[in-house]
Amino acid sequence: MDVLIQLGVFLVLLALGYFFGRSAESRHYRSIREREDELRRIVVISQRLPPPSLLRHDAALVCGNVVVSVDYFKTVAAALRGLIGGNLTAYESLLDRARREAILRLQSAAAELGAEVVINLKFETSRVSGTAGRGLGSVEVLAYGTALTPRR
Amino acid sequence: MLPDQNPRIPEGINASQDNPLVEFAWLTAAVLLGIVLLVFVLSFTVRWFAPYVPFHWEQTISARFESSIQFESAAGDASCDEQRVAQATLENLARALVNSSLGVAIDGRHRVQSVPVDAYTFRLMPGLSPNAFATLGGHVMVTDALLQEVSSENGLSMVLAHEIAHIQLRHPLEALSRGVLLQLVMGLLLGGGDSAAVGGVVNSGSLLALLSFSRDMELAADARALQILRQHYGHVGGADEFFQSMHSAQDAALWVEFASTHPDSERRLALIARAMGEDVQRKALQPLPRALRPGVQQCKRGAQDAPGS
Repeated sequence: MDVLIQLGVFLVLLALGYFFGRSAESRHYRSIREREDELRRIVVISQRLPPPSLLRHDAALVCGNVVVSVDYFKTVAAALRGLIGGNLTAYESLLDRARREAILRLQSAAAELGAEVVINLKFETSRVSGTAGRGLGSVEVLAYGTALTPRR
Repeated sequence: MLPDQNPRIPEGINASQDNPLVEFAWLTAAVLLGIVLLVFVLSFTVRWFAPYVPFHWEQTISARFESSIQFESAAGDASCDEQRVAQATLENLARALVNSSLGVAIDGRHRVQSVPVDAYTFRLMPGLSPNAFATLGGHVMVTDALLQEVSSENGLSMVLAHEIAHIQLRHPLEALSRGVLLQLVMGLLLGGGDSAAVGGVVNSGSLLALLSFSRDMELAADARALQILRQHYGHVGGADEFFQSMHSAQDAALWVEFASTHPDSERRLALIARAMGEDVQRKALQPLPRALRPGVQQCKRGAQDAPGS
């Protein structure tokens, strides 16, 4: 009987994780696509030095920062995957969202400065919780670059 | 040249667009299959070696649990003469069955009985639910509520012979070894870390497989118990009494538990019915000894407190 209750709790958590995680993900992707369209005019490139045409622009550091957490369903799917091996697709969409959201925030910061271009885009990630294998893990994705603003 | 605007990111390259449930179903199925296979391999290994483990090893292990068990039952049994007589009657019947069981070969092989005759202990213990069980170290417990579910000595003997068969087939040791070995292997495979999340899948998988072994053991004990009964009485009449009454008692809550570790009572009754059909002679059932009849073994009111009883 105990085992049945344990299994029931597990399945309920799994179902909740799946439905809430899934709906949050599709909502997030929709919002990401809309904002990407809005901010498309702010060009973000990974080139290290400014192109000659922008040499007289002002430079400023801009950052976009996101912390994402994994849901229960993804944790279980990833743990099962860990026993067998292969691509951790459960986490791939999560990190894809995090990277794109971080760029969007970086673009927003650049837009606020009145920048036209962000050069030298870089990413950093770090684990902020879920260490020592306990609890659900969270990851920070930081996008940073140099915003080039026309001199007034 | 700088582009005019950021390009549109093509979808589905960095993150898969497939439904994660499909992948999850595959993973679950694969892991479950692996675990069930693992349990089966371990269980068959344990089943193979359990009968070869010397019984005194089992007693050494069980001695660690025994102090608590004996303390419990010592408080419960023989608080008056009626109970003492009932306990002694049960023990005599059980010992007679053990002696008869010596003539029944284990698994068709005439292997020397690995459990010494004097190693068994039999206890009648107070209990509200009709139950009987065999534990590590050759101990058999029967609750007094079970006595109300049988109407003849043969019916009670079937229950006792079933538990004796468990011990002779080394089932308590087998179940313990299987549990310990499985935990050890799971611990090695899964470790403590992230894999703790798969606990639900792993537990249900191993439980599924373990229960089938538990049911197997019950059926094996039933089959041997019937042989012991035939050796003892010359027939197996009355062997179905306990299962019939459990079958008709529609206690749903008990039923779920019973059905999970034990085989369906229909299947057990069918096994008994088949054995009854093989009886060459039919004899009258032995009446239940007076001391074990319902109500008789209970202490009369006030008798519990009498000094020296």
